[in-house]
Parts: sequence; C-alpha cells; structure tokens
Amino acid sequence: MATTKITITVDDDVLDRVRSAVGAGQAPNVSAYISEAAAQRVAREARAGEIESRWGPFSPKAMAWARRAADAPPEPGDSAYLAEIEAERAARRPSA
Amino acid sequence: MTGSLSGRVLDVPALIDAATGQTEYMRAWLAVMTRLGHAVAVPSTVRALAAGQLTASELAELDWFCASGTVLEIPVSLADADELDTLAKEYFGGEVAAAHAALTARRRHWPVITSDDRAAGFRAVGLDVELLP
Repeated sequence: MATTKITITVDDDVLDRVRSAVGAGQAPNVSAYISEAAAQRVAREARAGEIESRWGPFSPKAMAWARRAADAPPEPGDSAYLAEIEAERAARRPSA
Repeated sequence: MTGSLSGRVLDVPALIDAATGQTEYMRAWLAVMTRLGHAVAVPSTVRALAAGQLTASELAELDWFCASGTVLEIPVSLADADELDTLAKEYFGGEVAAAHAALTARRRHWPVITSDDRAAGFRAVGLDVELLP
C-alpha cells in the first residue's frame, strides 16, 4: 500500500503511551501504531455510515437519546428532546 | 473482543426494537455506539427469545444488527448455570434471558438497555439501567 509522510500534532501524554506501547512490541514503530488507530477509526465510521444508509436518516430526537445512551457528548438541543422523551414515558406509566 | 472498555448489554425489548424498527431509537443508538467504538453485548438467550417474536423479515434485520462488528454475542456457559438459575428465580420470575442479560452486565460492569416494565429486576440486582424511550 502506498504511504505518505505527514506531520501531525499529538498530545504529549498520548505520545508517551504510544512510545511505551511501541517499546513493548505492540507495534513496529510510532507511525504504524498511529496508522492502525486511524484505520480502525475509518472502519468504524464506514460501518456507522452503513447503518445510517440502511436505517437512517435518524431524527434529531432519536439521535439525542442515542448520544445519551451511548455516553457520547451531547449536542445543542439534546436536553429538550430528552425532556420530551421522559415526559412521554411518564405519560405512559399507569398512575399510582 | 473489540478492546472497548465501554459497552452496554441489550435486553429483549431493546433487541426487538432494533430488529423491527418500531422506533428508530435503537438503530440510531447502534450507529452512535459503532462510531464511538463501544461494544454491544447481546446474550444468546436474549437473542433467541427476541427471535421467537419476530417475522422472517425482522429476523433478517436482527441478523444484520448482530453481524455488526460492534455486537458481541455472549453464549451461555455450563459453569454459569447455577448463577443464572438463581438470578432468574430471585429477580426475573424464572426468565433465563433476563437473568443472562443481568449476569453479562454484572460481570462487565455495563448498563442494561431495557423497557420500563422490565427494569425493576435489573435494578434489584444492582445494575444501571437505560430505559428505552
């Protein structure tokens, strides 16, 4: 596979851990380690894209719940959708 | 294993929702979990119980959902039989699938996604629960 040399910026603590992993033999060098991590991210994005193509697009309300349930960072407006979901759930519960 | 430190365990209603698409929540959630690299555990008994309630076309969607690299199917181990039996009897009215979900969640320290009407048993076991909308 063709490769291209690039310059990137990495947090120092992350780089320390990467170098430790390389030192422990988990990858042949820093470039290979970072390249593998990027390839995994690319694969995840591709798979998520397949899911969205098959079943999406998803509503902002569904995405708000999905982010919360996946511990993903919220986006503006999510709290209003989540409040709406909770109100709907409460309305379905039998009254005591 | 995906190597993920974070994940969720699915109970029967969550898996049925994913397969049927009755709501879009579980399908949207799988996309988010996949993008984040989090793991989704589906106990084999949960899958079997859900499958028994699905049509052929819904079963195909369930298979596609479970074939995602994000989903880990958790088999039943003979060594777990006594613990499963105890959990099923004490918390889930004898239902093995719910007990299997609870055991999987307890061992991995992951929350369970289930419906409002099934949450009490999981909470009684001491598990975190994410309710379906």
